[in-house]
Amino acid sequence: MAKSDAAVEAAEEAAPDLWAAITPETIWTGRTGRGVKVAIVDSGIDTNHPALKGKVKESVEAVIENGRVTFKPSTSGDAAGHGTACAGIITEIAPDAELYSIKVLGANASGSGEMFVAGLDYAVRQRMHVINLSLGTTKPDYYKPLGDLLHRAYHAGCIVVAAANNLPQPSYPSILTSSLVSVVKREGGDPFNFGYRYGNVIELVAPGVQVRTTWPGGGYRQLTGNSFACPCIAGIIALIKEAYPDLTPFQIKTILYAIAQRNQLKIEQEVEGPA
Amino acid sequence: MVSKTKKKTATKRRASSKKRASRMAKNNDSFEARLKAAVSAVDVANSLTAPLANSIENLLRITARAVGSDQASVLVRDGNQGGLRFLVALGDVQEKLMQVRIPPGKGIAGLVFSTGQPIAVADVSKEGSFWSDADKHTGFKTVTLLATPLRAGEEIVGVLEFVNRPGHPPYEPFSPEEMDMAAYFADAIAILVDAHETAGLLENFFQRSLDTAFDPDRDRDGRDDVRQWLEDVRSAPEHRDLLQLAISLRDIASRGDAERQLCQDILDALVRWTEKRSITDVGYFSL
Repeated sequence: MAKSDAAVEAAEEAAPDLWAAITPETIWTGRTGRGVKVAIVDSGIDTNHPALKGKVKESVEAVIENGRVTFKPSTSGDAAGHGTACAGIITEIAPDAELYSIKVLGANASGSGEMFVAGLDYAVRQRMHVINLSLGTTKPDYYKPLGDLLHRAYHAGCIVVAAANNLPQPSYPSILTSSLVSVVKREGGDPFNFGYRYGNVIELVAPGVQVRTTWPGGGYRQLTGNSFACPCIAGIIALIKEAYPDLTPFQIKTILYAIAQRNQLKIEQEVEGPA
Repeated sequence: MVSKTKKKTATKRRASSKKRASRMAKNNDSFEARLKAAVSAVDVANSLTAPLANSIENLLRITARAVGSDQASVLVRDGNQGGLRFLVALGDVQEKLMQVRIPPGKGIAGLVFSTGQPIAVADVSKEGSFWSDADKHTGFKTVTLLATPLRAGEEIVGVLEFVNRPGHPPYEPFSPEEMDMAAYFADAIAILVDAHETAGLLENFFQRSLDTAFDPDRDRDGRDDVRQWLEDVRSAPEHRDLLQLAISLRDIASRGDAERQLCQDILDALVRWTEKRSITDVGYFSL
């Protein structure tokens, strides 16, 4: 027999708030990302930048040897600047996170899809806790290899964060939402004030407009693009992983969802004024 | 409006072509000599690419106005290692820019080309250091910049770049909305750039075929109107068929590295085959 509406309402009121315990205070306040390994699969990192000195634990770069992509220690830094910019955003949020630079773009690596896939594979094999992918490919050839890799990452407990394509085309792996955390940019400066758009292909919305961050040579730039929204979320996940190292990727997404709901509620209350 | 550098190159090629024709005519007054002179005078160089470059420049001008910048450029692939060169540029230092080569992965343009993602950079002058190799070469000072990839199908064929705003600094940074607008125009420009690249291939192919087909030691009698006929061929609709053939090859090549290699092998084989053929056997030039 179906319960009456009144009974359902009464039951809902009596039920504890499922998300009540998930607050910024319980999740990341006081955390710095200590002990969390964050891989940045990108154009390398300028390890001499004052803001990044001592934070990059390892730098490797993709090279092709005997027709296969392999990784060797990298001393070539970051000619493009993209990876350094991402690293700066992550360390701004999680200053004690251990950064691992996996270079697949740049002068010595032409940035082929093959190298990109190999870079992600390397990060998963190294059991990185968080993997920042502020890049992607639109070539359908890579749909399956990246999908397979993401499944491996998921089961290995690696949390992959990927930037959405800035252009109106699907890019991989960002659209493979069920196995990773996908991010699109919005305006606003507070990285913790992110949103969650469940039901959309790209779920997370984070600041990515005129983000001031590190640039090779010791300087800073203000950059706009989804590439710079992605490391905001990667940094926040590093904080969560420090607090709760055993969380699985889907548990992390649940936390992000719950906090985003709070952020949304806060915005609505600010707009509407106090009740 | 093609750039001056491009015009100079075209003029140089034309002069070389006419010189060659004139030399041949002096050597031999027979039909073949006159035929050689006629065909050699046909300016294959730039006949396909120049109109496309004009269209790209016109569209770039419209795009720049819409995005709110008057210093804009289209960069295209320079070799197959990820390098870039300027195909068209608008603004104060366009001539100097045309001589700049951007190595693989260097600068914002190299970054956008390798990542396939647009990027906007706000006021860099606040942060001190000189901006880029292009600035060093041109003496221009980049303050704010927007770069978006030019994508034709799955291939990135170049980069569309806007630098600074009209007037004097400080400049308003490019907004996400302007980034979206640039991407919208980039789609149209990318199609033209892709066609330009294809046309360039065809021009090279024609040029090589012509250079190879005309062996100065062979003579034959003929008619004076051949020259006119050959000139007509340049604007004949059949050109479009050839262009379509090349586009088809590019479509196949864009499917993957193996297909690309296959197309390269086919074209190389075709060029070698053509080089062995006499004028009477070469496609449009069958007489």
